[in-house]
Amino acid sequence: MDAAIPVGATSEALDDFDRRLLIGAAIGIGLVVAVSTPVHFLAPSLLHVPAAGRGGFGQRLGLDLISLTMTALCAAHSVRTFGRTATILFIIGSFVFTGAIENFLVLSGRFHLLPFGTYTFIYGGLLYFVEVPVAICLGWFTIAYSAFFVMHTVFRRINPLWSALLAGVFAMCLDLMEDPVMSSPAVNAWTWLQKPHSTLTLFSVPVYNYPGWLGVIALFELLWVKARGWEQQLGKPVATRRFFLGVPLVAAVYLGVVLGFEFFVRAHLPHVNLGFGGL
Amino acid sequence: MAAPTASGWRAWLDRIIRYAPVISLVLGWLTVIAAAATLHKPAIWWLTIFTLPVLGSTLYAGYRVHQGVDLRDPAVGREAGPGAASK
Repeated sequence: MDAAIPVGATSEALDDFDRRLLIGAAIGIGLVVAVSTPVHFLAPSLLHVPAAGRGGFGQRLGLDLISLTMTALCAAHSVRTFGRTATILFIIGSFVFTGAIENFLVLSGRFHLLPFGTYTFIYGGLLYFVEVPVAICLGWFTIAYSAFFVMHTVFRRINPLWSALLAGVFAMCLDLMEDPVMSSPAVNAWTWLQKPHSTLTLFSVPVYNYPGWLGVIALFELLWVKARGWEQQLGKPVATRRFFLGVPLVAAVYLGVVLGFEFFVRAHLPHVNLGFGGL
Repeated sequence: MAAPTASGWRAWLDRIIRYAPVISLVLGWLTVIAAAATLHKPAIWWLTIFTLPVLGSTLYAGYRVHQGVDLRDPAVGREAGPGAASK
């Protein structure tokens, strides 16, 4: 079994293709952020922004700066390790992938497009990608990339596709503590909208959240690892086209599986909280 | 104290970038632990059990980076010497 990840150019200058890709993505994402941020803060009634989600300029600025700094450091690491094109695909892909999924879940729960509530972010930075803080999208990149790197470093001789799956397990393990803590009323970074005992919960968090974390990291990284192979075999343009066609497809599959899981849980499993000690 | 030279800053930045994934995960873990400490729920500390494999593998990866594992090499796992991953 080949354990090698195809390695992109790490030292050459940014070529035309990478430059166009980067500029196009920056303009696209920048426009969405430029429109949705004022809407979030100045017209909160338009998207039914919860009142608790406003305020705290210094805290918001700090969160954005920390997220941007960690993203820049991880991106620089990725350029050195996997090359420029792979890094650009990972950053843009993960931002759009997680942004689309999180926005779908937040807005569909908020506007009752699903028969159950989902979640909403209470604290965020100064910038919003529709209704998801940019800091969350960037944080998702740093966790996904770092998890992949750690798994690929620890299990160096396995196929990178397995590293992607293990990165999903890694992220789920982290979230088994993170979500109960960060969504608890005392911290309230985000809040789950399903009432207690309206679904099966684990440590007061809907149980679909945990396999959701595994799936969202693993599926995206499997696609990214495949794209690295396509780049070597078919060239950058074809690999990039396939990758960005795959992102919405994988996001749709992910949402279908996760929401199907929650429908199944609500219909067939007892609505209890699996926890202890007030968790 | 003498001011750091430009090359000194660059060396520090190189070092930080070399460990960036490890730093980001450890900072994330510490953030969760700090938030957990504000909850005053003793049971919350049992959940750290789930995160120990995360912390352990992250620190081990940091150790491997320190040893100079070079993931850029297609022959992954070849020892490339200290500092190779940051060059």
